[in-house]
Amino acid sequence: MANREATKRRKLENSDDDGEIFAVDQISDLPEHILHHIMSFLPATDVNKTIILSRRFRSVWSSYPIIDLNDELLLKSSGQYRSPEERINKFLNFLHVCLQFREPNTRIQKFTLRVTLCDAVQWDNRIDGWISFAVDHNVEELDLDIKNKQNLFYKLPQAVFSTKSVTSLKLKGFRLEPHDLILSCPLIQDLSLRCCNGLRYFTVSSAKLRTIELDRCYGLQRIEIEALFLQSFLYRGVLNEPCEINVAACKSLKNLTLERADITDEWVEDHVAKFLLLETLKLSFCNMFKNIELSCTKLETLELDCCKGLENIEVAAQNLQSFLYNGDSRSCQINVAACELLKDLMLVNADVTDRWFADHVPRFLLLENLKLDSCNMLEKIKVSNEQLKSFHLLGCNKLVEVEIDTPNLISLSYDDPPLPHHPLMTFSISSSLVGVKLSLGTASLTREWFVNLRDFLGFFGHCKVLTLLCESDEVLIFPEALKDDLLPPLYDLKHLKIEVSSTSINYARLVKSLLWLAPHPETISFVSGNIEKSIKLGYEKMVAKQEDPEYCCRYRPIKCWRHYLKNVTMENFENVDNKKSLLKFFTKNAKMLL
Amino acid sequence: MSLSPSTSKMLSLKSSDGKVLEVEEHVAVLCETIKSLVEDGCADSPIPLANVDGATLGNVMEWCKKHADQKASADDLEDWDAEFVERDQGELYHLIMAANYLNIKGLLDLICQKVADMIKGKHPEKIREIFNIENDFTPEQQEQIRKDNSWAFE
Repeated sequence: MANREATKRRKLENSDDDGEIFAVDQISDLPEHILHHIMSFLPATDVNKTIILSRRFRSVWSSYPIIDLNDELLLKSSGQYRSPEERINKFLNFLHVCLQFREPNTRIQKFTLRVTLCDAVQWDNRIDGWISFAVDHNVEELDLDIKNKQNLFYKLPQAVFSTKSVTSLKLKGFRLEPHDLILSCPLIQDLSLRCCNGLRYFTVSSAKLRTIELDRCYGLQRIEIEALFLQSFLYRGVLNEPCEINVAACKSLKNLTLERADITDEWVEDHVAKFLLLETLKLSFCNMFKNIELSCTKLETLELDCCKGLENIEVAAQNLQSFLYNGDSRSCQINVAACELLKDLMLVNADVTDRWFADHVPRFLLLENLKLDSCNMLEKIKVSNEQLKSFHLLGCNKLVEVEIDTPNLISLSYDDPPLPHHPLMTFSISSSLVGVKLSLGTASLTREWFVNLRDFLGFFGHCKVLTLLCESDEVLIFPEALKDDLLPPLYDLKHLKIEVSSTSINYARLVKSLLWLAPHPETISFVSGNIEKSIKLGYEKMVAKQEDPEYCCRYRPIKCWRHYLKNVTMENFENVDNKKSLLKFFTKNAKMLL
Repeated sequence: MSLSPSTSKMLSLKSSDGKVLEVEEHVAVLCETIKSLVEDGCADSPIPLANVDGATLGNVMEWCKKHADQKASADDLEDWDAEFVERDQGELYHLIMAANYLNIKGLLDLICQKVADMIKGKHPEKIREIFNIENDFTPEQQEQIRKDNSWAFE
């Protein structure tokens, strides 16, 4: 290394975006553990790339303790291969080659393998070779996900049962023999079995277990877990495959998630009430139970999602912070009035009435996020929670009056407003809103629709940033005839943001229409993906002088942008044609443009 | 032992090329190596740092000083760090070695992240070019690599 340092560094003449290039390779001199540390900041694809850089890097990779082999990240799209078989074979060969490079005497901390096999393969020695290698090298975390196009399950290599070092085991797509996995792996803390079959009874007893996930294990009939320190249990069932669940002994449970579980009222009483440490309870598509009464003092999050038998919800958990209810439009009594610390309230397809809303919501003094989705009984609501930051309305097609008086609201979003009925709908907003997001659903583009949209937008003229989301820019192109008859709705708006899903946008036409909607904006921006194109507009403060009598706004008290616009800057318009047509539009229209 | 700025005394650090740097103790102890010397009461004056040259030591202490500043906000530090790592590879190399030797996790992470960012998403040929890594596989090995897995890294 001293020699290296003594070598006079010679700077090459060519340098580029990636920094200066030096004639001396110093990175290869870094000690192995530091190169491993650098690799820990890289995605798996880049880590695996280092194998072919040089012999030094291949050797560094060969002792790197985290191995992540993922066919989707390593292989390009199937386009360049003659067949899916060829593609997958390339990957399996690559696995084989990589294995040859591994240093025999290094520990493996984490081994991840994800692969989608294409034909009826249930066994492959290149895959099994790696799994055995990982197990032989005292792997601590084993994460295997083997998909099979024909929905067959990969045979779990015997080696896995002889592992003594594994603390985290995640298996997806395997056929499990009814061995006692846990007995074979005494150190397991985290266990996840997803899309596996072959297991009829899952019976474990362990003081090490911390989390268990049993996600669509086909054929599973009974679960019996005695794990005093288990903190998290997830069960996701398979349609029409009933399974008996007994986790009553897991007294330390903090998170319980059940989906498609045939739990009854008695089960809820026997189990849930005894989990004194429960913080999160999520039940979805559990259709057997009718009543749920909870008073767990630690409970912070409760989700009751599409549990179709549910008739009565009585929650008196004082520390509840987040409540989601999706009622699938069925009738259900909900009483959560005692949860005065609630911060997030999400009601979806709930048959709550105006009366219910008025009785409950004002009690939640700390409410920050409110979402009402397709609550089709609501007609008139008033929201005045002082701490409210975001309010999301979606559908709710009977709603005709919304009063918002919330000083701290940052974002209001309204998806799919029922515009055809809109003349009935009024928004009264007494606080100054920072951001409003409106997503304009499907439109009929009739005259009536545009008139309604204009009136509707008028409610949001005083917010700081108005974002409009739409499928295509057509819904924002107001007909010329309408523009003469109506006043623009957004006179005071300073920042307008448009998110259009369609990629073909006629910017000049759209901007013309937007500048009618909002005649004096400071910025108009267009967001698609991570790119934000923006137009900044600067105005002359002085009142416009004598006008050409033929010019626009003759009868308007406030003149439009054409009379004041002084300068325009555009950012991120990569397409030259778009930029040109916009510039042409501005120079043609703005009288004072410099 | 109190390490608060008000009572902080000065430490002398001596670099490999003999330069002596006076640094406030609460700044210098961000280096775990120096911290344990101080705590064990073996902080001779000046503390000899045989593996760090004067220029690098100056840079390291500049980083420590910024990060010992209680008033600096997280955003402020992030911006400052982003500027701090804008250096040529030679300096980055010496900083990594120094951060490793002096056991400063925050600085080591920062520079390693910077180097990782220079690698991320790039074609192997480009990575070799940036770091001047010599492709030292034999022609046979290269042919094998091309056949086996170059497809994977296009």
